[in-house]
Amino acid sequence: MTEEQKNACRLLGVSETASQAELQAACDNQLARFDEMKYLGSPLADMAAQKREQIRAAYRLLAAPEPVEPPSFELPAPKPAADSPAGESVSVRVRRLLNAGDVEEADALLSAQPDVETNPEYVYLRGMTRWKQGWLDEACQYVDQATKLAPRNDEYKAASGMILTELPPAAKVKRSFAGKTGWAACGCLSECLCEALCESICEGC
Amino acid sequence: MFGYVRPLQPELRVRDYDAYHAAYCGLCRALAKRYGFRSRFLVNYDMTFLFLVRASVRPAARTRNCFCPARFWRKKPCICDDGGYDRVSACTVILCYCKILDNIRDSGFWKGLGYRLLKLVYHRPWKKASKDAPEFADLVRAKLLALSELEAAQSPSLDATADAFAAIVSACADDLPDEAVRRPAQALLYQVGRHIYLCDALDDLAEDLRADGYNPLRYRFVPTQTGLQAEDLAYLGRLMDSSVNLAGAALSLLPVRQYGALLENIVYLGLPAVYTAVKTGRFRAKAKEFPRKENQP
Repeated sequence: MTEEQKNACRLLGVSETASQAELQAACDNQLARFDEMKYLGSPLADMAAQKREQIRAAYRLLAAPEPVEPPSFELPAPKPAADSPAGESVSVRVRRLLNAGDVEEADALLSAQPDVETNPEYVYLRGMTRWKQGWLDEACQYVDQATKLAPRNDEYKAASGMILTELPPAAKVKRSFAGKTGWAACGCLSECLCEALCESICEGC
Repeated sequence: MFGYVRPLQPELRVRDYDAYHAAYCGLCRALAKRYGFRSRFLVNYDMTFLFLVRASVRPAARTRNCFCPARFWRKKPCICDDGGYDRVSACTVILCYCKILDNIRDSGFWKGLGYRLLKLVYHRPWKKASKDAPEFADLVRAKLLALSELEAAQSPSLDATADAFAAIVSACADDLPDEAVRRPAQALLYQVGRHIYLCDALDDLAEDLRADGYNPLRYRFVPTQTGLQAEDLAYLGRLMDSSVNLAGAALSLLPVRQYGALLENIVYLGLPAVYTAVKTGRFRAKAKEFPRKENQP
């Protein structure tokens, strides 16, 4: 096995003697880990895409057939508001900037528009800029407002359901405290001399 | 505003639990080594998490049994990773000193006396830490100023206020040289910072309502006298869950060499568990009634 193949095994997390089925399962797991949906509102979407590409390349190196990829989600192509031809180019430019990760420039461009508060497309795109910044509350508010202004737009409706995500099932099951010592991970602080002083600084950490 | 980032202990493996202890004690030791004995008192869970994030991409450091002033009759295992702790200990001192200044501003004369004394005690460590991480000290000062301006303007924006604090936490990873590490680390710490700020806001809400103090939740939602209404609380819960998911997505991209399971425990289990405790009002109560002997290794 060449060094390149060994690296590919490490990336997929399989042994060098893994069977075809094991390779397929590992590849699926890794692709699901960096799933496009998980990175929709994240500034790290480009890194996740790179990682998926590396995983596919590793799989191709180790196994001849193409991996079965999980269903991919693509945001709808830029669709400018039909009733505001003047805003068409701005909308497309903002979308291009957002796709390139230039959130500040996109926000500045939107802010310069006179009807930024009333044009549903601009309101929606403002929501998207907030989403990319990780400002989830304002993103929800803008997208909801855009949906109210243009209730028949499917893209806006779909986006409002995507910003807020649910925890993975494993985390949900265990989120309630298991027993009285559930959350307190470290006994050392409580026993340290510093407890009283620390509490006075950070108000009961 | 410390103590909201911790693992969910029943789900930790024994070796991860030991590693967490060793990282915590290592931070305490590093603080004392760089900034004097008094800085040991500033050690906290949140900064231990920061160390774990930074150390996760480094080669494993040596763990040694070190002297512990709290239990001087028995040595405790400490991670001895001076390179890894340098930045974390500077950030800890700077953040705690700024917290003391913030408390002086928010307290009356008599209650503020204790904080003024603490300010004197920690002034020299702060000066040294500011020299060690000057750009971080400047950023903290600027962001806290922005935060106090937002508070003065009674801003109803959860995101703008949380952003000021999250940017500070995220800046703790600004010095990482490798972009493939720095970007995921910053994104992870940003979301964790948001989580800390919003948890703290929810934790303080009842008190702020009583004392007529600023709280972003108070202006963003329409709270009752005791706290948020059920639907607002559910919405806030979904915001927090989404933050956790974004933090988890960033963690997946971090090229971790160690502490992976521990970090996943903190992000996916610890953060939601702490939020649930804050929501139900058990967080503060639990801190007081925490059984002291039961959890010792």
